[in-house]
Amino acid sequence: MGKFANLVKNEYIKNLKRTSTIVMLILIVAAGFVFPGIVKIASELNDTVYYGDDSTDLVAYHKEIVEGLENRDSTSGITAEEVITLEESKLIVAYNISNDSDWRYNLILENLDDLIEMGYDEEFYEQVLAEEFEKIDTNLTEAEITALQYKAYDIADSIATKKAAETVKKLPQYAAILNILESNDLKVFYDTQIKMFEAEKLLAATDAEKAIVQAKIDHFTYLRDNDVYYYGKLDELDVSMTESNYDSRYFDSYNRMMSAIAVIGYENGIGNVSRNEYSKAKDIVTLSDYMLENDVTYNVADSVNPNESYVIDFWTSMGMSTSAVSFIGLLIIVIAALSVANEFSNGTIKFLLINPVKRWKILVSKYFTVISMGYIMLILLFIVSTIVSLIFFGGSLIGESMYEVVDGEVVATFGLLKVFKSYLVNSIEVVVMATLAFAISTLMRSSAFAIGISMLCMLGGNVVVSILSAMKLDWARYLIFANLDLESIAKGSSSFAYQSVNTAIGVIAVHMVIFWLIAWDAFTKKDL
Amino acid sequence: MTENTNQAAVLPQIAVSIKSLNKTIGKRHILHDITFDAYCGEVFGFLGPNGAGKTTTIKMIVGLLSIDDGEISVCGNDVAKSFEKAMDNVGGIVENPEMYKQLTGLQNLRQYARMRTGVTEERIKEVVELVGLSNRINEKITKYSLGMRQRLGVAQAILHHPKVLILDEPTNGLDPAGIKELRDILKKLAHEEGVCVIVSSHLMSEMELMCDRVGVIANGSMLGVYSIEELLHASSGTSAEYLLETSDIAKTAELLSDYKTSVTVGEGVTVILDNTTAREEIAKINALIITSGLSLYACQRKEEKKSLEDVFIEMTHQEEGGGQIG
Repeated sequence: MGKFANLVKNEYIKNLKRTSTIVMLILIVAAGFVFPGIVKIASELNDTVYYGDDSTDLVAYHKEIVEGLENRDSTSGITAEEVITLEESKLIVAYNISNDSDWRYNLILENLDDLIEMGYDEEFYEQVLAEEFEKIDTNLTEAEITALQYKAYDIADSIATKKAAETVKKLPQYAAILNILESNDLKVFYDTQIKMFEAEKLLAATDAEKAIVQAKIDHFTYLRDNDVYYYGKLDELDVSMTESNYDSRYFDSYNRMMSAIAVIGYENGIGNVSRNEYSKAKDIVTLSDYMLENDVTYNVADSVNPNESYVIDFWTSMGMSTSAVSFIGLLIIVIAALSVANEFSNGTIKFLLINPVKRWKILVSKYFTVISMGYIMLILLFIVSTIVSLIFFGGSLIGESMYEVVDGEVVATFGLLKVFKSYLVNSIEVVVMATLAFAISTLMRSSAFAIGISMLCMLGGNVVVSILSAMKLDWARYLIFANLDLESIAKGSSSFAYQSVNTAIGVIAVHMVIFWLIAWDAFTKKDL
Repeated sequence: MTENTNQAAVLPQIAVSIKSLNKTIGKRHILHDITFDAYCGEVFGFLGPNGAGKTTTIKMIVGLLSIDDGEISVCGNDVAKSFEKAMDNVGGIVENPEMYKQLTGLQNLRQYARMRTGVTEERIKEVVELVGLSNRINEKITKYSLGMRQRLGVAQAILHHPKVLILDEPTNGLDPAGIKELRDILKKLAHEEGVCVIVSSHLMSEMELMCDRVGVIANGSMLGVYSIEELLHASSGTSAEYLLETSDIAKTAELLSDYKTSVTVGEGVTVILDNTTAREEIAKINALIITSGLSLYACQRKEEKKSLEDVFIEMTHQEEGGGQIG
């Protein structure tokens, strides 16, 4: 054992005294900055989009719009869109909404245009259009007639919209909106929503349909009873939230509702809910219930996956940093290739092998060194990424956990541990590629060959698999490249349908054994 | 272990034993039934022209090449069967002394020290002094000359007090002073510390000064193992030539018509005698010349024309008649 430790020490010294290794360690530190940096820039851009209008006074701005549009000569043109804008601005001025983060502002913007569309009278529009067409002088040239016809469409649309805006004011929905605006109380908004769904429930034909509406009622009841901030469309379930008013309880309740609907749908044959979606939905219901009941307001899972996150924070940065693990793969390929091939190209292999150490022990010590260096780089990357993320996003969220459903039970894992596990899962690809490079460099005794082939495999493997999968060549699912991304396979988002993690691990294991046998045979048997 | 020490006690002097060694690389049969023993306390020369199979044999002793057929044991340990035990007793340089370029001389030595047992820092320092590298040991290998790398190679090879020291063409790249130093080191190791030193070379003159015994190899076959004395004797040949300077060369030649003679105008008469009786014969000839009334100015035994180098070339060119001398 002491001897093996000495062999490994020798390998570490040889590697660390090489300039290339030092450059690599510097690159790893640099890579630790890259992804948190990108996330930081993205979050800065996001912020400017959302807070850009903060300084302007909304009431004064909309007053100007109202004055400008009302003073305009109606025949010289006020478009249909401007009619809607005018109505919206009137309400904003009337209820003195000075801030665009006021939920009432969005209530108006989200609902008024839909309502006006509801009151739109197509027959009236056709009638006006016909009248406008008659006014056109038939003695004009064809081009002039066409131009006037186009104008006629716009005029008719504008007049019809104006009429719709007036009609709508008689609808109960409009009255409801005014009532909500008047009260300036979210509870009133939620009550209105609940009342509408209660009415829908009475009309529901089956128990399943009733249950679906009840899920919606439960959602808004929860929001009302817990003072959860929300703005959006009346009578609908759409989400419209920004970082500035983010409230996890809203999303938990919303997700719970949507998933409950999916579960009921699957169990009663309503809608197209697949088996896969059904089991996911069940998990979401379990998770949301847990989150709401235990007042857990932060889940690392919501931020950590950059594709699905609503907010950009410390955990988004940490989640993104896992992408840098592949970069370690590129560097470790070089180290693995040099480790064996350099001994041959420098002729030092003869001095290494005349020592009283069996060849396989030297091979194992070299492999151990390469792989352990990979993991040292991984830990270094994790530490640098964490520090850089802390610098960019602060440390207020560092103690948070990730909540997931495993076998129907909610499991909470410390966030940093979860991200590190994700690093480890990604590192499997690194180990496989390092082993490939190791085997090639032992077999060919050329570092250039080993680096070239391994990098080609690492960078081109995914492309090859996508092409083969697009060509519907199903055997490609057993290629090593199709099985390296265990996270995607576990999520079911890999190139081939129904890939299982166990099969992937099996394919990886078979390849590793083959690579190892090649290296073993070449290193221990060959004459020098 | 006990078995080995017992064996060593029974046959104390055999350090390396090679029995009917064969090697084929590709389709070429490189070694044919190589057999020899090297003993503790001697410098064994392994002599042969380029491509004779010296390096191949050495590589097989240190395990760099596999053994097709035959047996090699080092201090009683079979190289193929118990490699680690056998190599514990071996130090060596095979082909050129290549070292890790990114490391200094000292760091290189530490690399090898870590693979051996019981090599202390003091021992490393001692060896560095012995090979005369103390001043430059902390420099990177890239700054070393071939001679310096050769010295470092020797240092590396003797680091762990090996019982068998195998050096493949160790004088390559060394200057004459360096060669002499190395020679002294090797002789001291063999004669004072009882190390079996095996040195390969294609230079007979080098072997003559360094070795106690020489094994000659040509075209993959062992021609024989000889002591230096045997070789010297072989080189002296079967006849002796004497140059006689007299007052009358023609008459002298006439006088010596019973002997094989040749006349060199302006110099004298050369007489060729059988080596075994040359001394008695030349005394008789001298007496004959003087009694004939001629003046004998000088009687000179001609310097041996046939050098060891000639013997070596002669031997290695006789592809079938190996082992006939001495």
